[in-house]
Amino acid sequence: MEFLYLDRVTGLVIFYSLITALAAALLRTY
Amino acid sequence: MPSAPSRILAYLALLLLPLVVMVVTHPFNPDTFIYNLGRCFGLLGFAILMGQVILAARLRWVEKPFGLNITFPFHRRMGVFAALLLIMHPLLLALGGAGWPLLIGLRIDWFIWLAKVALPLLLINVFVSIRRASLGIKFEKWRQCHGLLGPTIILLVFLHSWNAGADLTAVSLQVLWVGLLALAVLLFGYHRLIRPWWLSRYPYRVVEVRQESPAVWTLKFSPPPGKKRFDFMPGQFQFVTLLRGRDLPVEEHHFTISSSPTDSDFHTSTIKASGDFTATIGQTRVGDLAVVHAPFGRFSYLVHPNARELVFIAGGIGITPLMSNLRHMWDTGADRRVLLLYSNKSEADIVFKEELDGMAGGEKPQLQVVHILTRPNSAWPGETGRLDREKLARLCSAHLAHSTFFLCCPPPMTQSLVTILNDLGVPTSRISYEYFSL
Repeated sequence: MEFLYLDRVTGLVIFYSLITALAAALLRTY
Repeated sequence: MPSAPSRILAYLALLLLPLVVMVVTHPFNPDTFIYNLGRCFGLLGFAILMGQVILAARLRWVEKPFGLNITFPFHRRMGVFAALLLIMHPLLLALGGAGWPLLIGLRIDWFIWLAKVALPLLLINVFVSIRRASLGIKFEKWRQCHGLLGPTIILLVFLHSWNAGADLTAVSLQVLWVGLLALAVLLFGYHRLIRPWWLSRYPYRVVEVRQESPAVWTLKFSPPPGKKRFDFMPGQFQFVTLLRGRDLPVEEHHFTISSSPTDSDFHTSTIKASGDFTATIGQTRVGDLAVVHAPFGRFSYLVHPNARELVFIAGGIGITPLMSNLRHMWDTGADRRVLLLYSNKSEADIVFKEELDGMAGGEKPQLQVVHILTRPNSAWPGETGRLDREKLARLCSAHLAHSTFFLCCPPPMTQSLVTILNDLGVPTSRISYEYFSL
C-alpha cells in the first residue's frame, strides 16, 4: 500500500508543480 | 487515509505560492519563454528546499496520516526533484538569453557565485543521502552532515535568490521569501535543538534488560516519575537516545516497539546486535536513562479495521512490530485470522518462539505460525530454505485472494516478496510493509 501511495503523491506533486511552472512562464511571456 | 489529502494540498499550495505571487505581481515581462521557465524552476526549487524541513522535522501533524515510512522517502524524492529543477534553472536562463558566461564565466556577481557553490553542495547532499548505505556511511555521521549541509544550502540559495531575483523587488514576494526562510529556520531549530532538549528533561528509565537469543535483547522502558507513557498503536516505532555513561555511544536510533499498548505502564523494544551501536545494546543496564521520541509509523492492523484475514511475514528481527500487533490482538481478543510466516537462519535465532506457540492455540486471534529456517540443523522438522515464490504460493494459497499482507524484512527481501506477491495476484494495495531502515 505504501509503495502505491508514495508513488501517487510524488507523481501528483511533481505533475502539478511542473504544469504550474509552465503556465506561469507562458503567462509572463505571452 | 483520512485527512491526508488536506496535508498534500497544503504542501502543494506552499510549493506553488511563489509562482502564483510572481504572476500576480509581475504579470508580464519581455524575456523569452525559456528564460521565464528557468526563472519559474528557480522559484519552485527554492520553495521545495524550504519545504524539505517540514517533511523531515517529524511533525506529528505532517506524519500522522502517512507515517515516516512515506514522509521520509517523499522528502528524498523531493530533494532529487529540487536538484533537477535547480540544475535546469541556470541552463534555461543561459539558453533563454543570459548567455553562456552565466555558466562558465568568471566575471560574475558574488550572488551568482553563491549559487555555483550551493548547487554542487545540493547535488552532493542528494547523492550521498540516496546512496548512503551503499557508500558505507554510518547513519549518525550522515545525519550530522545532512544537518549542516541542508541549512547551508538553504542559506546560500536564499541569499542568491534575494539578490539575483528580479521578481524579488516586489514586497509581497519579499515577505513570502522571508516567511519561507523563517519557517524553515524555526522548524529546523525546533527539530534539532528545542525538542531534543525538552524531551531530555523527562527521560524514560530502563527497568529490565532481557536476552532473547544470542544476539537479541529486549529493553523495557518505564515513563518518567509522575508521567504517563505515550499512547501508541501496535506496530509503531520510537526514536531512542540511550544515556548510559560508561563511554557507551550516545546516538539516536529508531527501534520498533515490541510490546502491546495494552501494557499501560511500560513499553519494550527488542533489538538485534547488528551494527556498531546495536552491538553495545547488551551492555545496557537497569536504571539507564533514555530520551524517547514516539510514536511513529502506521504498521498496525488497527489501520485496517476491515481486514479480518491477515498474513504476517517476518524476516529475523522484523518480527518485533508484528509481535506488537499479535500481542495487542491477544490482549484484546481481536477476531482476526492470522498466518505468520517467520523466517530465521537457525532455531536458536527464533525470537518469541514460546510465546508465539502459546498464542497459536487460541481462538481470538486464530494464529497459525510457520517457521522457515535458512540454515537448519538436521533434526529440524519444519520448512527450510529461502521464502521464495514456490513457498509463498504453497503456504499462502488460501490467502492470496483476499488477505492483507504485512511484511517486515530486510529491504531486498521485502522488494522481492512484493514482486512475487504481485505475480501471484496480490495487488500492492493489499500489501503493507515496514523497512528496517528509514
